[in-house]
Amino acid sequence: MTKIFFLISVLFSFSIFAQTDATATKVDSTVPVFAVGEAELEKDKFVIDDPENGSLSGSQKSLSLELIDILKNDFVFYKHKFNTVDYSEKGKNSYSNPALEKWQAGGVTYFVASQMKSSGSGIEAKFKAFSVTSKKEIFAASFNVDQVNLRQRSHQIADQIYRAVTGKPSIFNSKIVFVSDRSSTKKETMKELYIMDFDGRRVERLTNFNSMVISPSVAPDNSKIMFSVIAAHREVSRNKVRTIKNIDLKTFDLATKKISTISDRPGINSGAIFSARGNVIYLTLSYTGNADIYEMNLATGALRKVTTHYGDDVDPSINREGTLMTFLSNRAGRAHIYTMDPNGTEKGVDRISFVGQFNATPRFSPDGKEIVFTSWVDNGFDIYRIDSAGKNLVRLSKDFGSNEEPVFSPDGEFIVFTSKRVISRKKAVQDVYIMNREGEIMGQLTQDFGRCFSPQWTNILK
Amino acid sequence: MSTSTIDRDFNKNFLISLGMHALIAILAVLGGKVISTVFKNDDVEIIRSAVRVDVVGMPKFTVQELKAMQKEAPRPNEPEVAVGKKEETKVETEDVIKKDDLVIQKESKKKNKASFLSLLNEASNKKVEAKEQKKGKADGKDNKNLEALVLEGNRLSSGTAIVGEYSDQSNSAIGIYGQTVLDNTRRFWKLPSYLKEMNLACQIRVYLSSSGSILKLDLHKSSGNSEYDAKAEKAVRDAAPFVKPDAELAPRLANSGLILAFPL
Repeated sequence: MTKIFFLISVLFSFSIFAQTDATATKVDSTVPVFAVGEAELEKDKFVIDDPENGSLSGSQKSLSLELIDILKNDFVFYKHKFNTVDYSEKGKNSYSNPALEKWQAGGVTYFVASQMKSSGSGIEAKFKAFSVTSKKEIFAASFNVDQVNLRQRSHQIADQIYRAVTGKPSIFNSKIVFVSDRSSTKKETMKELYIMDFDGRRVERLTNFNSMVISPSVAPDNSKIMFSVIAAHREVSRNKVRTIKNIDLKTFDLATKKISTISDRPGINSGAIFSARGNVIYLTLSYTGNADIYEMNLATGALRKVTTHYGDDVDPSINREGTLMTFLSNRAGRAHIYTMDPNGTEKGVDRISFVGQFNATPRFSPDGKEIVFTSWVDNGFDIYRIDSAGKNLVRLSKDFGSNEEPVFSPDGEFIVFTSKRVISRKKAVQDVYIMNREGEIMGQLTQDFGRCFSPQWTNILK
Repeated sequence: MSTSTIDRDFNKNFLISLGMHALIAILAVLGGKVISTVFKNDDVEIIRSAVRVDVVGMPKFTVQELKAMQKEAPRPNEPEVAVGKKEETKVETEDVIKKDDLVIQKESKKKNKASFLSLLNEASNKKVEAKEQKKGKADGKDNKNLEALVLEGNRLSSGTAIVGEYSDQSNSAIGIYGQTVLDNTRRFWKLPSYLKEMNLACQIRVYLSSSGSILKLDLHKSSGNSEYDAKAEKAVRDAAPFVKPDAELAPRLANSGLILAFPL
């Protein structure tokens, strides 16, 4: 009898556990339980208050206001997280007297106060940030700001406040490397390497090849930029000297401005990317007659073949752990996206895109969980995101020109890309834009700067 | 030979002939069935399977458009139709070949003939039409349920798809009605970062009138954090009134209600 009772109990338990998997579960025979799921993140109400100014000259006052404007503009990029609100109330001295109760009554969750004092030709800017809900000061620091370091220092301050609030680094200190043809002449197209702040300001030209620079990539420590350039090679054949064009791989040292050649094998030496440690690179070489992806040790120059298929394999991108590589290949006929283990040769190759007329430039998110790429649809390229297992394909851009070369920001929250639109029969513009990871366009970074290509984000340094 | 002998032989042969004809007829019928069974069904399955793959395409709608659709979806404040009866929710997928599509296919065939590497270079020089982007609302709301709306892409589909994940249990009248309550409530279920990171959970029991409005709300299980419980309760109140339940379901919803778990 006891055994029968035990058996019935076990069967009854199984039936209960079986039900818990369903969306609607029942606590008794009449009241079902429905799981609402995880809550959506409510945006934090974020206030960067007007500064408390000491005795400042006219230029110092405008420096102070400009600094606050840059901070506010930086936080607007994260508008999916923060609802930045302006509260103007003269003489409230929020740095000396934060009055957190007042901010709490207004529903504010984070509040930034500042005090500016004269310091030489510049200002001494003191900042405090408060968590209004926990009534705690979460950040306090002082910075010397002048006209020369204004933008750089403002981004640094914004990043430090962002880190204090979220516990994570922001994109504010990052830069974007890109290629532009703005130095082209009427006879010849020339593409050179440039670098700018993440918000499109402070653009600086890096190379003067008077040639075509392509496919830049930034070292993990931001010390070097690797790129390919169409170079002239002298070749002696039957006592005749002739010049042939070749795509060579080079690096630009950002500290010394020195350019070094990494690979100038005959054919293509391009599409190179750094590994997460920076000691090896992955690139496409075609000196054997077929475009394949190789791993190259930067110290020794030793090569190892990563792909060997007779199809063309290009555009590698590696996850942070170096355990998964995504690349583009026409091994199935059309250009499709594949993943594989880069530590072997043709190891674990998995095709993850099965649709699209022409897919290109797959790039991993910083956590390696997602891949962003571009695909030819209708009358131009548009940007798509898919997870690294090939599921959850979503479209991010549409009716916004032709959008190419997407790359995730180092914090994974944004995507930088180029967008091209035709102005007339002879003129087309192509500029660099930022969208957030949901495809909301955040802003245009370049304008009237020639046609811009291949944007790459620098890395966040701890 | 006598007449009776002839008749007997005739009858015997007639019966043999009849039997043989009947046997041939039976074999013909059975043979036909065997042939149709062997050669027919599997082929059909394979073709259907192939068609399913062909229908798959790149997503037409962007994430922003899907968000906007979700926002624009009519909220059942003034429901006209009673809900509670079993119904399949289907989404039509566009499967019409346009003139432009044909042009692209021709271009694509040409591309396949060209070398892959030259295509990579050519690809960035294609002329495109300049179009203004449709500005979507950018307040970051309604991130949930997006996956349910992503009906195209790498998912295999024969052209229609059922939205959401319905278990056998949720296909019951109360299950279907509960899903509508759930969908509405999810739109208002939001937490600030500091509460979201606490990983709390609570349950709210809601009793509904025959019109779908709230009769009573009970905190069935508290999270231990009053602010969290209040946010969950507010989500239910903001989502109401819900869809009008059908007459059979209404007494149950008024007397026993249903329980909403935040989050699980």
